[in-house]
Amino acid sequence: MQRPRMNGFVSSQPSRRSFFEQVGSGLCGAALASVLSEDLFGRSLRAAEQTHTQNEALRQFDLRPKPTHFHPPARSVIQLFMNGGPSQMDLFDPKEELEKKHGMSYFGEIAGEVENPQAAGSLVRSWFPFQKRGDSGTWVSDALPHISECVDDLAVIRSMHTTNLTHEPALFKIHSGQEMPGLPSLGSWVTYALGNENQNLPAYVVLDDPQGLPVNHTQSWQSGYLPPVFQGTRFRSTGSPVLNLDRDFQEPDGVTGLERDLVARLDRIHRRKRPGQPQLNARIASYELAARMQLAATDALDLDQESQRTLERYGIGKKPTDSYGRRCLYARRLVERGVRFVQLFIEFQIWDNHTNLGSGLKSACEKTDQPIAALLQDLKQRGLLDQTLVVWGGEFGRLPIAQLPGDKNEKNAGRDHNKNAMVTWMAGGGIKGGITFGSTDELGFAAAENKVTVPDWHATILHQLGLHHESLFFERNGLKERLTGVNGARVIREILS
Amino acid sequence: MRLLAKGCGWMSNFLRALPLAYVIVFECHGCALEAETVDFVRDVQPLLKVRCQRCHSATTRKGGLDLSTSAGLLRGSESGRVLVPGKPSESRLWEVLHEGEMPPPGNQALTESQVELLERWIAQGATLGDTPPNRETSLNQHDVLPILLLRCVTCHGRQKQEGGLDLRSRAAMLKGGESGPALVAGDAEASLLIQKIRDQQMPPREKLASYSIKPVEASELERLIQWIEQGAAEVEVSADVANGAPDAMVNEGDRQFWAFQSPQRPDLPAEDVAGTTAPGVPVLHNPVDRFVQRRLAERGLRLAPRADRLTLLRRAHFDLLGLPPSASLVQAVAAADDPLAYERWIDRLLASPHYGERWGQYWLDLAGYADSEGVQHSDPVRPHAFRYRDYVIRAFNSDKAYSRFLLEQIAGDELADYETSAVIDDVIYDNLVATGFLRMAADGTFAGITGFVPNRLDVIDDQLRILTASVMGLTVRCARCHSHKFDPIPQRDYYRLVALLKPAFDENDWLKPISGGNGQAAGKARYLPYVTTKERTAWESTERQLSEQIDALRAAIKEKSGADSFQKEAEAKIKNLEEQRRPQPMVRALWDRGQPSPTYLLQRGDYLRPGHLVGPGIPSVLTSDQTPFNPEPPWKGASKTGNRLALARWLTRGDHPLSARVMVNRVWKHHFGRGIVATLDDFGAAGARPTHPELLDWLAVEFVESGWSVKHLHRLLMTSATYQQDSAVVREHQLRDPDNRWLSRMSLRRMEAEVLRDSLLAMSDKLDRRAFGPADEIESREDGLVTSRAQSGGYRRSVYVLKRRTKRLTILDNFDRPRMSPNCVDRTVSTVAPQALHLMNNKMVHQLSLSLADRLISEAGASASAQIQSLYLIAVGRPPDNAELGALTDSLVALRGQWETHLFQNAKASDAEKVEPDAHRFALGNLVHAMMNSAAFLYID
Repeated sequence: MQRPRMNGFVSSQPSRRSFFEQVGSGLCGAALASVLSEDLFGRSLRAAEQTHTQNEALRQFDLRPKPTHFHPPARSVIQLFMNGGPSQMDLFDPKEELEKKHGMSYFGEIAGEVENPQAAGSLVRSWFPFQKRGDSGTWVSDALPHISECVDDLAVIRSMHTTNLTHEPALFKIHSGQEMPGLPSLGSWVTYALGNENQNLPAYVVLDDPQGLPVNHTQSWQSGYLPPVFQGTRFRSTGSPVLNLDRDFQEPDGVTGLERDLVARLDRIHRRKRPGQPQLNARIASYELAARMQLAATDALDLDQESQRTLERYGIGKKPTDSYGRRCLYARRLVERGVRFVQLFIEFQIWDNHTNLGSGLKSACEKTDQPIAALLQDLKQRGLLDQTLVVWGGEFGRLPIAQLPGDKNEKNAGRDHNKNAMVTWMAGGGIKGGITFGSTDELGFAAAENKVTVPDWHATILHQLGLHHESLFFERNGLKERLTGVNGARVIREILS
Repeated sequence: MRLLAKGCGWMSNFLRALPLAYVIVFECHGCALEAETVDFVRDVQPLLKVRCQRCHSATTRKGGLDLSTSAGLLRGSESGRVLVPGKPSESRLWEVLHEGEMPPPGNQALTESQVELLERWIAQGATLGDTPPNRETSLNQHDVLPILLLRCVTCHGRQKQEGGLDLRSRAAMLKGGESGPALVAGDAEASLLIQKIRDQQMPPREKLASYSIKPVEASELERLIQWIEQGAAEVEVSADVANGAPDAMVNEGDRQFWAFQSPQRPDLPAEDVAGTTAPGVPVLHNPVDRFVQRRLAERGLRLAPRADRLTLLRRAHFDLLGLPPSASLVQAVAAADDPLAYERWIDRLLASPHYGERWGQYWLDLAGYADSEGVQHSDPVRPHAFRYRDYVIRAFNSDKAYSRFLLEQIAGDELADYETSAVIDDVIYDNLVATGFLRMAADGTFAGITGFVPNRLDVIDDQLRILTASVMGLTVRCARCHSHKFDPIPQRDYYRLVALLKPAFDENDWLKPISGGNGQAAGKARYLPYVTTKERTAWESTERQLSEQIDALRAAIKEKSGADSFQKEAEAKIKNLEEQRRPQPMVRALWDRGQPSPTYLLQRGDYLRPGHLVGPGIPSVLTSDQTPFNPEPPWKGASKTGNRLALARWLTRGDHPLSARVMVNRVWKHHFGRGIVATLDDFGAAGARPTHPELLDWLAVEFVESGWSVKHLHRLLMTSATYQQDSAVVREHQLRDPDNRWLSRMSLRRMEAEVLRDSLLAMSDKLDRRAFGPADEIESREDGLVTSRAQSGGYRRSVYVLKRRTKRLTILDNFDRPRMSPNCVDRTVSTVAPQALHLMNNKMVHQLSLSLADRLISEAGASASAQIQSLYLIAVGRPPDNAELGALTDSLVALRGQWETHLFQNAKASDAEKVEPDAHRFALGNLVHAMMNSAAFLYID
């Protein structure tokens, strides 16, 4: 059996010469070429030995658009990450039994799955009434009135579960497939596989909350062992959108221009004396791109170009939706410009409702509900929803029993972490709308039917982008490392249109 | 997993020997039995015999699997059961056949109908002739011990005996605790152990998460009951270790692979190896050159001419120190043409204290060095880790024999008796600090919720990976779950290594990264108090003096109560004194604690599926069948097993197939840009083959015979004509050696992240050259920029800046400083826009450029051209050529004009005379800034 080739794309890799001819002719696609010395000198050789083709073929990393494994429904992904673990039985998974057994003890049955056993209370029903919504009759609680209007575009997955009930490992798991730090995130894998359609913007943009980074900080969008060109780039809502995008010191504009010209002139002199050194071409291109990015990034985040009506729809300009509304609108503007993967975070962990779930969850919903609905509707109106996969969810779910605050007052109860069941949804990008997939047990404690693992979820996202999760790998330590790991994963075909 | 190792065309041979009729007969069975009951003896056994038993017989047992008997089928492979009666889809045997994993590629696969036949047989219950598939076996202590270890011994084991109870052996269970015996053999109902678990009293529900414990599962309780009911048998089971008998899983053929054979010193190619007689090419005195030239000659190439002196000076400086040569040295070298000077520089560079900071960093990459634990948001800092960093730097500076370096890092605690030693000298201290090598993986087990047994097993796995990838150039990690796909490393060998480490890394008797916490006896953590007696005495005396002064002040306050002003003053003094107190100096170490808990092979790597008992050992393919692993306690009366000492002694044998080759290859890579084996971390079957195998072996033997001297190696490589080649690419290179794998020239390289930062600081006179000690603090700005905090003398080298996993220095991050996951065996280089943005727009780089401008103005005198000349000497180690000088001079004039206009517009009248010098200073600053952004600076010819 022939071993699959590098990343499945060997045949489409340009030869080293044609690659640098393109750089030389100013084709901006090559601008972000990331030439790894390891690959320049190492793995390419191994591939060449195995395949006996293109004796000295060079394996390069750049952000030019790459061919997919098959024709994909989606072109971009917007991940609406819900930090902290939203409560499934208060949003999308109504539980009649929980209603009936409200107040009964259940701790003994699930003791090993409770993070804070000393605070464990009895079974507690949802704080919110549920209704069937839309033509599809999808169940959604009253906490999400705006998303309720979009249910016919959503595929709600009730049977997802993960492997760790602590934030950090669970975040690593959902972002990078395994519970440990140091591995490439989903967005990095996607951009590694597909590159970017706009060479003047980063391929993978992170819109984090000005109020605080998520619990694993910047590790949530790291590229791990993939080249750094694939790590997420933070765009900020205020000030300069990208770190170091503008001069962090005072200087007349004319001076800056003169200095830039000098660097270019020195580099040309340097290169002229060193023909045949591809690294130097890539470097010059990276300086040219840096200059273009200053304009493109600023333009992408310029909301003055949007109509007042649009701003209102996203809830921009009013509390509590302004902050998240802006990020949702940025997300649309970025995918419109060909950015491959946009990842939105919200506060530190807004959905981590250990206590006062009634008010805490409601507040999280109020901040995000309208902006998300606006994003879905806006994408749809512009014909972008078909090619944009929107995914919503957190790192785990919550328990059917109450978590009591220090004073043991049940009125102020919340819910503790739960790795055995969590709810997520997907929309657009080839997803079948108006369906609810899988189920949990009668109390909502654990996924029961059609269980979906985190690797399944990753495999499905990759699939919608035209990628076979098993053919997408990076070789190191003599191993083919994959996002979906070695234990298998299944594309959730039931939710595909 | 792979049930079979590599295929080797055996089937065709086999078929030739097989009577044709036999094959046909059993093919017919396959067709004829569509609806009938499948019979094991009649239908299944012959099929297994023909298709599987070449590798899975009683004698071969690849992957531990014997398919020749019903007992073997029941026992399964080393990864566990292969048959689940009634459930084909859960039966590994059917799965591998169905998915075409077996037989291995190149061998005749089973036909569809044959696979269906097996499916039906399993679906029908997988009856094995006269052997019932589910015969009840009698349990022994090894069937229940894993349960007790997992669920109970945290509180009833070695570190703690709650209620006086220890549950680690049958005898201890019979003895019981304060409430009486835990076990009544033969009577489960009467056994307290069972009662407490059944009543959910144990393990206590409220403490589960904080003690990293899960409740006993129903099936586990059942097994405990069964064991007790059957009489709580304790039988002698010998662990799976190499015992001198032929190894069924690894054979001599496997050991023939080049990297598993000891290196032998090959004959040197002749001095006049083809192609060297051409004019301008030096006579090849250096053995390295002869091997390289031989390969080049085969391709019609020859070594490139020698680079000029200044290029070599700069190259050697960055290679050995990671810092640029000083301007005065550049001038001296440019002025004097001394043919012997080059070798003297190399010696001088090797003697520099900055050498260890540069080369120590590469080793710290391999060790996965970090100053924090990671995993959780809190990312606790490791306050004592810096001692290991300092040890590594000192070891490189003193050219410690690499063999000794490995001995200390792998088994320093077993080299000398530190516990009873009256004095802790530098040697003992180094021994212990060195073991920090195996304490570097990210580790969340400081918290209960990330400290469960599987989390601990992950830490052990990371450490094993660090050890094997860095020292042995081998991947053993796959074998945690299944036998290695490409290399002959069975799963058993992974667990032998786990057993070897267990006296130090015991997941059932775990030392947390941070002292205290639940389930851990007080004061027990990963720290030993054995710093040198000198340091300890100094610390104690300082602390004593501080205490005395504080006590005296307190007493005085009491005496003079009422005198407010005195009290205030005294309290301020106390506060000041308190701030001078330092925590007790400790060593972050790994040490053998004796009495490890047993090691079981974990089927498919699952901690809930313990398999058979495994003892300590080293990978079979690297030894012969005749060498059992026989550790001995390192000294008389030692409570240590000597396991790691035996491992380290084996690794540092002169004839070890990998240790010297792997290190020589790494040093080579850092000098030449690629390894002789391109995959530094993988010398196995999936790795690259050496481009110059004889050279690699020659160097490996030379390295060992030089007393494992790394500096000898540097000297040897750097004085070669190969190293001193020019880096220019000519047409022949592009045609015949485009990737420079044959070393037809020197490779152009970009500065590594630390080299860049350190060089910027050095050029601007902002480098604080103080070495060692606690790491420098970092600061993070709201927008994510992370910088180091300035010390009084500027900033220290990057190796001394705090390496917090969650906060990485932005400049290093942008320029490819690797993340430790769990370590980094080979750095990558990328060329991306954020690098350009950082150098162009970052405030600190800008400030450094102004500092260097000031330095030029004060040192080079008033003439702009002298300043430019000096800038070139400092930044690129040579004078500018005419084109460069022209570019800089033109720009300086234009920039000065811009600045003058700008400053005039904004200046007050009184500052008018300052405008001109200021404009010059800022304009020169722009020139420096441009140089810092230029390829001439960032790339090394």
